[in-house]
Amino acid sequence: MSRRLSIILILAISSLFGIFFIYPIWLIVREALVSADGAPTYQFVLEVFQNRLYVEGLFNAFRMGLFTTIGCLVLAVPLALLIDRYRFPGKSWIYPALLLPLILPPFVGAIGVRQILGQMGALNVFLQTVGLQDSAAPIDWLGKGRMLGIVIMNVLHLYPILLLNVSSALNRIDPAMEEAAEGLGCFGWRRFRRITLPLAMPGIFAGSTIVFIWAFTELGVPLIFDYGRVTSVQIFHGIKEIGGNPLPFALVFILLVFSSLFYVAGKWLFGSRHTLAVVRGSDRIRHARNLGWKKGSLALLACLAVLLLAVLPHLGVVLLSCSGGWYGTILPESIVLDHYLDALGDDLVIGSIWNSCKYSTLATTADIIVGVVIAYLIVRTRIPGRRALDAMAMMPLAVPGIVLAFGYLAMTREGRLFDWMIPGGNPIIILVVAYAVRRLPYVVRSAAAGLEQTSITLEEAATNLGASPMRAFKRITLPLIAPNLIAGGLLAFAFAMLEVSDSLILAQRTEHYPITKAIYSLFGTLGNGHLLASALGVWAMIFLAITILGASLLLGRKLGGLFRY
Amino acid sequence: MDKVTRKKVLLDAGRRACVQARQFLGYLVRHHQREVFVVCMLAIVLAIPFVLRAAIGGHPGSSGKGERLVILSPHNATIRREFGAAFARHMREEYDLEVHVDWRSPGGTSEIARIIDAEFEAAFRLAWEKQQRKNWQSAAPAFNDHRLSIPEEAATDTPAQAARRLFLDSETGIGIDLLFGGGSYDFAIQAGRGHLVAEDPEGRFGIRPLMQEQPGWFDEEIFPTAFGGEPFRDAAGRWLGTCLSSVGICYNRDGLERLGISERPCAWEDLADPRLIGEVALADPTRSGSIAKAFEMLIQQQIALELEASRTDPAKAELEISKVEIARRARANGWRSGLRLIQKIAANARYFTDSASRIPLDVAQGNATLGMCIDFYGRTFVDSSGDSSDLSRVGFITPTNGSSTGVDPIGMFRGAPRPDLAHAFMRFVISPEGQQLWNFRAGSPGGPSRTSLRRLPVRRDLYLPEYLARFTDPEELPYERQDAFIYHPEWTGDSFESIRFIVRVMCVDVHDELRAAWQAIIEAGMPESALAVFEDLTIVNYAMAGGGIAELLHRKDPLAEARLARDLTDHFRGQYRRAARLARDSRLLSRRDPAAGSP
Repeated sequence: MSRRLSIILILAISSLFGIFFIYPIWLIVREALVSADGAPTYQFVLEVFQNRLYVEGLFNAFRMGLFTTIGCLVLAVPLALLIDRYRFPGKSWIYPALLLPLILPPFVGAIGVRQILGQMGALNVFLQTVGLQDSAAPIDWLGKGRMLGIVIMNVLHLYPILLLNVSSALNRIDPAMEEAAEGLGCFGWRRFRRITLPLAMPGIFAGSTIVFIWAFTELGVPLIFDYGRVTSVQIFHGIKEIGGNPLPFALVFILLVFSSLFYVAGKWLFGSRHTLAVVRGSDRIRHARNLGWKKGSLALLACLAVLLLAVLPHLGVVLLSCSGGWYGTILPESIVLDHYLDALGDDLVIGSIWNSCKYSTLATTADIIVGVVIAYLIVRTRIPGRRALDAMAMMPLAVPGIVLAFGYLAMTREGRLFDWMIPGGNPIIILVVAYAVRRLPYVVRSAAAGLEQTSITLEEAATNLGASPMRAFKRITLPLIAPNLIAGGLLAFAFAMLEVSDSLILAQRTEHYPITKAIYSLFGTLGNGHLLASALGVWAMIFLAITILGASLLLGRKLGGLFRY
Repeated sequence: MDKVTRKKVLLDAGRRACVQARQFLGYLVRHHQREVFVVCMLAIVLAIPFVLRAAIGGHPGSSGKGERLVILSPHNATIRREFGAAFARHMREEYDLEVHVDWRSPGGTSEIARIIDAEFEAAFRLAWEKQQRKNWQSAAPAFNDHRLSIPEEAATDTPAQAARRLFLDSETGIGIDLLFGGGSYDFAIQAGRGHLVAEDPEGRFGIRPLMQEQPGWFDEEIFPTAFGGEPFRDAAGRWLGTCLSSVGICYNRDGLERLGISERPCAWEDLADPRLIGEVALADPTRSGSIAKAFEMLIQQQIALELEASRTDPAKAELEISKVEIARRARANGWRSGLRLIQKIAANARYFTDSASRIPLDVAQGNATLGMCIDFYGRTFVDSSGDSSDLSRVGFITPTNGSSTGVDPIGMFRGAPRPDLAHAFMRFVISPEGQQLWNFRAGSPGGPSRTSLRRLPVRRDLYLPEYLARFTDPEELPYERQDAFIYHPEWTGDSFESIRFIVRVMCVDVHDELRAAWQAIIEAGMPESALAVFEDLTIVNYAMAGGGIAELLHRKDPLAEARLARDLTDHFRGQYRRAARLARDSRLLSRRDPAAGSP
């Protein structure tokens, strides 16, 4: 890419970022950074650091991020290796199935968890039935050892992000490298540490940073455990406080700064220093080793165990959605389908499905285009400002959804510069922008990891043979990084479908509701709202599961690599 | 080409197309089983909602056609649906007009308050700039400041007063007609800011014209201005209550049994039982005006008890202390007891939530044993949590002497795009027809079509036998309750903001330390030394709350407020840690010497 084009692109992307990310946040956060007379002030930021509760909250957020990332690495890297390197019975479906824990519908996920882990929940009743627990003294799983509980639940929820990134990275390592190492007498653990791990590092780094920032700013899981002393929850509660308190906005600012710092520090410590030029460019396929019947069954069992633990909340939601009553029993007392009839037959639902698919598809497309450009600028050019762009592209993960949503609302009000983004009250443009911005990091990280693993020499060879840079990129690089893009795109699509804050605040009229707002609306039904919301939530889970499994089946043939099992 | 040949050609073409289609399908099934499978699965999943929708048919009043009335509301989906449909039907039958309600429900009361403020600020800024006025910085904080007095003559206005005057004289609107639901506290704030109006500029539509149109409905005997000290409608006509609301206690019978509590709860004090540690679900007073009000009631109840005791205390009568002094001391003592009660209830709490539906759900599922709960949610869960054979596992009570009844109001926004429809909706909601919806059984004549709303109508004339026969809760007679609590604004009115602030710094923000200290004290057998440290509330006593703290909060200086909050949370953290340490020491001591540690 010519330097001039790079500069134009980096300026264009930065302006997009400025307009659709920094500006809306600024509209909200300035409350804490600008005093009443319009002068900048640092007093609120200082106040946060002087308040021990907030400092403790930040420290706990860091612990949450760090331990979750370590936990995810411990779980996901061996799983990715197992899946990439070995053949065992059931492998073709267990890999896409292992990604499913990511899809947990909003609002009802917490109720699903409480249904299983509550004091009168299924787990305690089970333990009491088998005689391992006294019914007079049930264990309060969600009330005790909450940090450990949060980390475990985070790990079980987020490991698929790392698994997806690591397995795509492992898959793209040229088998010749490992074969060469073996030829030189480097086997087993040593080969893994010296050859495989460094070559897979871009993927590991990409997944870890997403997991870290996600867990560092995670809101839902601490709320399930009613754990209040962590920055994300402090912001969430503070924003809702009556009387308008600017401190939560100072906290948002600090959270953003810290997330960027951690990202940059992580990149400096663990990121790849140079583009790896040793990764597979050919379509040479590694032959996975057959584990045999006994070992294969063990491998399958290990995968199943992880999956079963991770889908406990989902199981709670599924059982709840068809329960005729579920209290003090391991399974619902009776199975009924009435909730599905009421929920899926509701006026809102059909329109919301169509809306969500529309918003999410457009947002994912935008993410893939912008994500590839950003990744290319970061990895392939030496243009100044690319590192800042790199860190900036991760920031949408760290901003509380509600802050960005209120920011978008503020910037699109009548009379403001961007009021054209809600033409005739239809929020489609701003919702697509909101979804795209918030889900951009997945695509950028996947694309960057793909580019880092793809040798630039392949592109250079193509240009030497007379192809224009664009043609070389289209015919050589893009097909090579396609598995990464699909991985990132699937994550972006699934999470866009489950986006909460923007959907609640920006989709105002019923005809524009996405699925999440329809779930929220059903949730508010008196008496059985949680059951109706669960039913629609389960429908959304099934739809997304089929999309992910379907994509892995359909794309696997053409693209090889990532999904070919 | 003649007819026969054309027919033959068409038939041939059709046959060929069929064969090709069959071949293509065969090819697909043979070579692309996976793809066909995935597409079929997706098609089935996508088709399910369409099939189910066709099976149950559409709901009336949801067509989205006709005139549009925009209502911003935190009411739950059931209330929105029933009122939307009933109003559309009413307008069709009475006026032959198709109307549909465009409900805007972006979240709970806190999200709605934020949206209203921001929308009005943006709308007024636009009007301000259109008038080519400058210096928005001075106008921004002033235009909706209810404390700003406006002089008669505009000539002497300060820039802030000019902005406020311009706003109050304007028709600045946010494209929304009505605000429906919330607490009277939220409505009083919106009215004070000038966001709600009593009538449109022509004086034809709004609450004030409605009162002139239907004077009988607003008779004190039918629709009281206030009840039990709580306002039921705004004196200036900017909002009026539509249904009643109170806070009570919901409980899980199995949970109580498990904890060895044989009596069902009947008063707020029962939430402070040490056996309930970690078992109480509390609503968060910092995020809801109505819940803050409930906490205020709790304090008022203690003040009332103290006053009662001081009146009957012969010792004080002998001392010849002036009545004023007795009342002052009783208030101070009642305040302290009230806060101590809140402190212990908070120490028992599992969490503080702003989700009204979460508490009864958690109690019904046994995740919490007791909870502070809005009345209609409590009543609904009592019914839905019973199996056919016996009593419901969930119970709900309104605490004796400790809960006042408030209202859920409605009000018209300044600059409402359709004041005529807004007027019609308000008239409908206050009419007997609309009032019936709140408590008539679903499916009964005049009642909601699908789900009973379990709320109590505000109009007294609805509590007559002919109506009560169709009520879901005929035994609830809020206007007849002998023990109805009387709210005394002069006792704690000045400290209302302070109560919320104090509960935050004393309980919510330091909940971990509070609970740990309470746990240690309970485990040590309630040693007096530790309890005394735990319960020391001198720093937030009655004088401080109504004086220094209230003044600081009134100044609206967020930085000073943040600093005070920091000082107080530091204080309480230290205090609770000290209390926990003392309790543990006392426990150790009592282990070594069983006689020494007992209280």
